[in-house]
Amino acid sequence: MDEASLKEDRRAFWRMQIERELGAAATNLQSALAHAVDILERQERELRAFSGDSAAAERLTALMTPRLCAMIGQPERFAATLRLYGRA
Amino acid sequence: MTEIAVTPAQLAHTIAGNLGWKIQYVLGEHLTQFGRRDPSFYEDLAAGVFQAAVARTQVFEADGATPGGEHSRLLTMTEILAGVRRRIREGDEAYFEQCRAFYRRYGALAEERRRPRLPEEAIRSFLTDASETDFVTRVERQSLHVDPARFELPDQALYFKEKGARLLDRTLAETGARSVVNIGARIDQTSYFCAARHPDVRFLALDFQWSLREQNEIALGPSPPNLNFACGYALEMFEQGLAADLVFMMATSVLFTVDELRAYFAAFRQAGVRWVVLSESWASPLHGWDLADIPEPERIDPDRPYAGGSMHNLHHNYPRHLEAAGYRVLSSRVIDEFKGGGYNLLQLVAEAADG
Repeated sequence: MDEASLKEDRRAFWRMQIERELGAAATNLQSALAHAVDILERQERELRAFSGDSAAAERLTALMTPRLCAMIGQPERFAATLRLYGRA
Repeated sequence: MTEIAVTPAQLAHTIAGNLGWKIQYVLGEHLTQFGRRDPSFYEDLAAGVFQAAVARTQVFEADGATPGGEHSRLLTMTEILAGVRRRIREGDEAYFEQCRAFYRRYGALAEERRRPRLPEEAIRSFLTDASETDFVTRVERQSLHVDPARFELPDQALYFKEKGARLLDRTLAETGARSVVNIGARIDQTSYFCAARHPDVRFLALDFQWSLREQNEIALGPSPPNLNFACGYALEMFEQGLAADLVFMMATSVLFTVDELRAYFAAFRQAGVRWVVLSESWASPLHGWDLADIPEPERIDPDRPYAGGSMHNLHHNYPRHLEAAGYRVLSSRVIDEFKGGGYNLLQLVAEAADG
């Protein structure tokens, strides 16, 4: 799998994890959700690049998922933070 | 045994700083406890450290000075908070309130005494609060980079992050470690510097902010290719499979409770970490009248350091905790830190006992 395909694959995986965590609330958070997927995909990629261990990278990134979901449950704060870094 | 290697000039500053602390404390509301070796003295003091840090920063900023004086070349919390003060002067009271609220939440969540680890609520608070502040966009950039030409200067001429970078750089050269995790990295001049100097070593900067890479690249520019960033609670991550040859902590483990520190060292050992490198603040005890007392860490009761079980322990018995986890201390020195304020610096390198 090339790098772009891997990235898309992992984005889809993390999107599913977030939607599972958020349940019905996810439908109201589409904009924040896309950024959250970015954050998780990058976290996994960085950990994989550091250790070369894909399974550990996924496991360690999963620790962050519910925390990130709690954060995007405050969409105004999250949006303000994204603006600080030019992401929204 | 740890070598106390502070210069006479630093010892004089230590005495003056220690006396200053005592006077401040006498003038405060804890007069009746002064001079008693009562653990609650330190626990009360530790609980107020964050508020004191903010207040102290305002004083520094008002005086136009920073703790490192003219040699303060690196980003410091003082400079960060000076950015907050600038915002206040600009009339952004809402922003100041946001920062104050952050410190109040941090204190309430993290300073629980005898906690064995951070509660989930605190981790979530850090992930959100520490990510949303734009501290680093407001600081001056000229003081952000480590200069190895300064490594031969006396300790007092180097700011604490330079001293930490020098220790890590030399340890990497001596040990041949291939992977490094810097816990509590925040704006990580140390890893930027060492990653560029050691391109065959992989570095991971670890802290609570999801925006750690953004904050670093705003402050320091594009990161070296062998430096990665991750967000999370380091203890939990080592327990869940994070591994590295070497772990580095600077101004980090002082925030751990005793039980948490023990858990960290045990998790490092379990994860196969071979070297532990610490560059941490080391203060004189505040009780009694021996103003020149700079204790060796080995003298500290490992179960009951002066701050009790709470965070902001400036007196962990690191050697004992490391040995209990299966490490042996290779070197341990207390050296000069800030000229004033009574702070010294403990630099310690340990290796797995069966390494």
